[in-house]
Amino acid sequence: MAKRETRRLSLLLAPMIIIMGAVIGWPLIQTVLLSLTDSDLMNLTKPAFVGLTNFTKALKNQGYLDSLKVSSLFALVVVLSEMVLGTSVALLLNEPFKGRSLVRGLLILPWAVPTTVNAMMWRLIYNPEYGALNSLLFQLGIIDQYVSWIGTADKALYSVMFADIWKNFSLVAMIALAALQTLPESQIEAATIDGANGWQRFRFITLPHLIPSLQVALVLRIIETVKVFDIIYVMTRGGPANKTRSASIFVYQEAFTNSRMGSGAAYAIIMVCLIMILIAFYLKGLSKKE
Amino acid sequence: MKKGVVFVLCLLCLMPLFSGGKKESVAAGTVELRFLGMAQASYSEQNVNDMTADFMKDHPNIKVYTEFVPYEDLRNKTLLAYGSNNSYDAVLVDDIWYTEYDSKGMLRDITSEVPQEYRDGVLQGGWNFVTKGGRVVGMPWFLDAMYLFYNKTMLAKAGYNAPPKSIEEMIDMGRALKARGIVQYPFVFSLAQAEALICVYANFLEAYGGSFQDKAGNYTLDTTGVKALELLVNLKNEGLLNPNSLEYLEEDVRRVFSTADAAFTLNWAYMDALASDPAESVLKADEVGIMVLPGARGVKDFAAMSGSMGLSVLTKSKYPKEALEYILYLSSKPVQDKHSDLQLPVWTASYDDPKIRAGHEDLADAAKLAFSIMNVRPSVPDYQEVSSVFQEYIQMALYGTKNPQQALTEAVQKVKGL
Repeated sequence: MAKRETRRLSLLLAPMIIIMGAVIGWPLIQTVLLSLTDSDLMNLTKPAFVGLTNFTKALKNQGYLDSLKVSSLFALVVVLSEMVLGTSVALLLNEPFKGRSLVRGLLILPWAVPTTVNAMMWRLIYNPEYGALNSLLFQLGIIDQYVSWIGTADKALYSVMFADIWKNFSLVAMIALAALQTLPESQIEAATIDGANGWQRFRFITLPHLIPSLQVALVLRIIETVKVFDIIYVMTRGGPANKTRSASIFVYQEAFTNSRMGSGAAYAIIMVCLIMILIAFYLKGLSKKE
Repeated sequence: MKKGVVFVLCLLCLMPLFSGGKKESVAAGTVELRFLGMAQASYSEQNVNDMTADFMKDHPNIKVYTEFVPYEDLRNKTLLAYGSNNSYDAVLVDDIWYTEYDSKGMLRDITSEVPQEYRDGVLQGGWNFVTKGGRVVGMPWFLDAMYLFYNKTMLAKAGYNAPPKSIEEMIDMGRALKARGIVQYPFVFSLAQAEALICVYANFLEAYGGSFQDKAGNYTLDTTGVKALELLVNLKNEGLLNPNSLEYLEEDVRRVFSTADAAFTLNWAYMDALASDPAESVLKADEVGIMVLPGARGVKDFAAMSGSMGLSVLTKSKYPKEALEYILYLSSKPVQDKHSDLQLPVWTASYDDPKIRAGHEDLADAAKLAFSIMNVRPSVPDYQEVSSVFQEYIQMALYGTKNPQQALTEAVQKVKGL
C-alpha cells in the first residue's frame, strides 16, 4: 500500500521535476561544462577543455574580487536595511489607525514596480541638474548645491542601494505583517498584565514570533541582492570607475562584452557556490531549531 | 481509464499555449528578412520604419521585420543572434566593430555587388571603415563625428564674436565666461563610464596630435595621451567643467547645453537640429554654433574622430541577395536625401545640394571638413575590452584617484596584457 502511495506521489511530482530539470538543471550542467572550456560567445571554433584554469584565473582576478566585494557590501547594507525598515513598517501597520487598509494597499506599490522602471525613476530623482532629491534637500537647506548622486565615486553605490531598498523593503514588510496578524493577542495582553513594557513585549514575544518569517525573507533577499544586476545595469552600468560593478555585472561583461563565455561561466559558477553556502547556513540554522 | 482520457484532453486543450506562433501570415514566395538597428534620434525608428515601408512597397516579394535596441546592446545582440543560429539578415554596425565582426567571418563580402554609382557617389570616408583587407563588407549609412557646439550669445556677452581657433583659446573663453558670471560651468562633456567617454577623450587626443596606437599597433597613450587627459582633469579642477559630466551621456549634455547651462559641449550631428528645436531647447537657431573641434595651438587646426556606422549583410543570412537590396535601398541617395532633417547623407553631391543644405549650412560645412580629416578609434578585434579598460582608468584620473600619467600608464599595461 505504502509502495503504491510512493509511486503515486512520484508520478504526481514527475512533471515538476522534469520541468525543473529542463529549465534549471540542464542549463546549470551546461554552464558547469562551459566553465571548463575556453568557449567564446559565438562558438566559431570548437572550444578546448581547459580544466580548472578559468577558476584559478578568476580567484586571481582583482577586478572580479573587487566586484565580489561590491556585491557583498550591497547585500549586507540592503538586506539589513530592508529587515529593519520592513519590520518597523509592519509593526506600524499592525496598529489600528484611520486609513490603515489604504496604507497597507499602497505598501505593495514599490514592490510591484518593475526593477528597470524603478531604476529609471531613481535616475530621474537623482538627476544632478533637476532631480527631485536635490531639489528637496536644497529647499530644506540640507545641501547648498546640487549633488551628483550616481556620478560620484563614493556616493554611487549607496545611492543605488537606497533605490533598491525603497523598492524591496515592502516585501519584507508584507511578510512581517502577515506574521504579526497570526500573533495571538492574548500573549501581548498577558505580558502587559505581567508588567512588560513595549520594548520587552517586542523583544520577548513579537520578535521571536516574527523570526521564522523574517528568515524566509532574509534568505530570499540575500540571494536576490548577491546576484544583483538589473538595477545597477540601468542606473550606472557599473560606473563610475567600476565602483558599482557587482559580480553579476562583471560576469555579464566577461561573457558578452569580452566574448569569453568559458571564463564568464566560471565566474558565474563561483557566485552560485557562494549563494549555495549562504543557503546551506540558513538550512542548517533551520534544522537546528527543528 | 476515464481519468486518463480527461488528462489527455486537458493536455490537448493546453497545446496551443505552447505551440510556436508565427508573426503573421505572409504570401507564399515572400522572402522574410530581419533587420537589427539602433534606437536613436537619427535616423529614428520611425525614419527606418518609413524607409522600410517604402522599400516593401517597391519589393512586394520581400517582408522586412525591423528591431531596434539601444547602442549599448546593439553589438551584443548581433553577436548572440549570430552565434545562436538565429542570425539577423542585415544589421547596423558601428565603425569600431567592423574589424571584430570581419575577423569572425560574420560579414558578407559585397565588393563585386556594390553598384558603380555608389562607389563613385559615396564619400570616401565612408568606404574607409567598411573596407577590410580590400573587401567591402558593408555600406556606409551615416558618417558622423563629434562636433563642438557653442553658445554664440554667451560668447558675445563675454566679448567674443568668433568661435575659438584653438583648444587654448577655447579654455580662455571658458575662463572668461566663468569669471564674468555668464555661466557657472562653461564646459559639459559626456564622461560617464561608457563609450561616449572614449569618444570625447579621442577628440582631445586628436587635437593634441596623439593617437591610441603607433604605426606598429602598440598602445602609446602613456606618452602622447597624457596632455589630453590633463586638459579634462584641469577643466574639472578649475571648476570650468560641469562636475556632473562624469555621469553624463550624450543626451544629458544635450539637455544641459539646451537649457543654456553650458557654453561648450561635444556631441554628434543629431544635436544640431535638436539644440534649437523649441520643443527641446530654450536656444534659438542663431544662438547655436557648430564647428569641428579646433586643434591645440601649433599642432593642428582642427581635430575630428569618426563615429560613423554602416549597414552589413551577415554571412548567415538565408537571403543575402534580398538583404543586400535592402541595405542598398536604405543607403541610396534619394532615400538619404529624403530623411536628411536629422542626419546628413553619405553622398558627396548632397553636400552641395541647396535643398539638403537649407537650414543645415553650418553643419554641412563642418561635416565636409570633419569627414576629410577624421581619424578612427583603434581598429582591433578586442576593441570592446580595450575600451572598457581605458574608460575605467580615464575615470580614475578624472576622479583624482590616479594622476593622468599614472592612469594611462597602468591602462596601457593592462591593455597589453589582455
